[in-house]
Amino acid sequence: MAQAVDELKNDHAHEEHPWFFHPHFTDVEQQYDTAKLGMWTFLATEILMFGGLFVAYAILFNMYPAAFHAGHHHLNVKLGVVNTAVLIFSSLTMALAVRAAQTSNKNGIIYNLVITIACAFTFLVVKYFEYSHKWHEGLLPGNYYSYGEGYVPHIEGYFALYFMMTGLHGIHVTIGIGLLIWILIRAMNNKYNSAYYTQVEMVGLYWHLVDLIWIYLFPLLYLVS
Amino acid sequence: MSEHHDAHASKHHISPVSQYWGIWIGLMILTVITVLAYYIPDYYEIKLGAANIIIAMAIATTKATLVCLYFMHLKFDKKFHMIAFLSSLIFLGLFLTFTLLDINTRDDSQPFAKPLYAGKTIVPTEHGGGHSEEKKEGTATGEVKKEETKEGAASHGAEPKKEEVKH
Repeated sequence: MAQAVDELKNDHAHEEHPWFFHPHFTDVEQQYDTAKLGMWTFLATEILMFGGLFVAYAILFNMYPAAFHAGHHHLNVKLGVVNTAVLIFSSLTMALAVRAAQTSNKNGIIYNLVITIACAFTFLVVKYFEYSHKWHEGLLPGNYYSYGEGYVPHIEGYFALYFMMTGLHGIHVTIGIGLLIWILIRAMNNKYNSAYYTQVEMVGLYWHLVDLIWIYLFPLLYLVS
Repeated sequence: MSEHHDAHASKHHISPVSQYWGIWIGLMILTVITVLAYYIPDYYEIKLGAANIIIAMAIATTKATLVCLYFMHLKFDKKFHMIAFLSSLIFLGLFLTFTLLDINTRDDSQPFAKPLYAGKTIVPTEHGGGHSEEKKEGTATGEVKKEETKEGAASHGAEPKKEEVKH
């Protein structure tokens, strides 16, 4: 029995590797582990990049709490709640897409990815309406702040942070849409099954991080009191 | 061959669909709680002060933990991935803690340094403290600052007078 397994392994070594295997890895499993560790390291750097903005928020909030309190009244909490719900739901469908890939369910991957992409677009459309509203009202950062009434000193600093934080997050959502469309097309071409779904899982991890960042941005920007 | 296949399947954990929906329901309930925690004290005019942001951050962290453990599979993953991810949070924590220690303790040494926007400058005295002095702007910095001074004085004008009485 053991000999037979050995022979089988030897046979495999001479056989052609699966199409997704890169020969500089020991085996498929090591290739998967490497991708995953690389992805988590990247996510750590993402946390640090957003971290700079969160620290900036902490400093300005400590120095000028009145400006933050006045500034957040210009935000629409309802739209914020809608976007939070949309992103959390897209996170669910993303997780289900990865599960569908793990179980070789091609239609499951496609349906779930399409819902995820639709949610991502919904998020950006809502964000567009919020941005354009602020643009017309003059609720803009720094010297561009031109809203008429109820000026509180340093309120333009709150809007600088608002646009920087939601803007960087929005860029991540946009990149995420691109990645999701890429794996959707590959899923349609039968590239993923239970033996190989690394790309689906990595894009999933990225998408969950985008959701994580928003989980903090929503109360920090919309619910200041 | 089948043994090998089983070993492969157990390495990559597959969560049941019901678990994902359960986590989603949990996340939605926590979102509702976040919004209620904002509106209820407001409605009853309860002033929670700093507790408000602490409650909001605690709920957000609970949500983030759920996403990390179940959606991102950290609970079933190699512990090394958890360490890699947590290390970034530890360094962010250090960054935040020391910055806030700095910001929150500055005013103890210069108690009157805070309302700069009220149009004052700090003049140190021999006794080590400082007293605030109304500074007349407009010679070098132009009219923009003058406007700000006027509006700032509306909300902060009361403070310098009190301080002057003390000295």
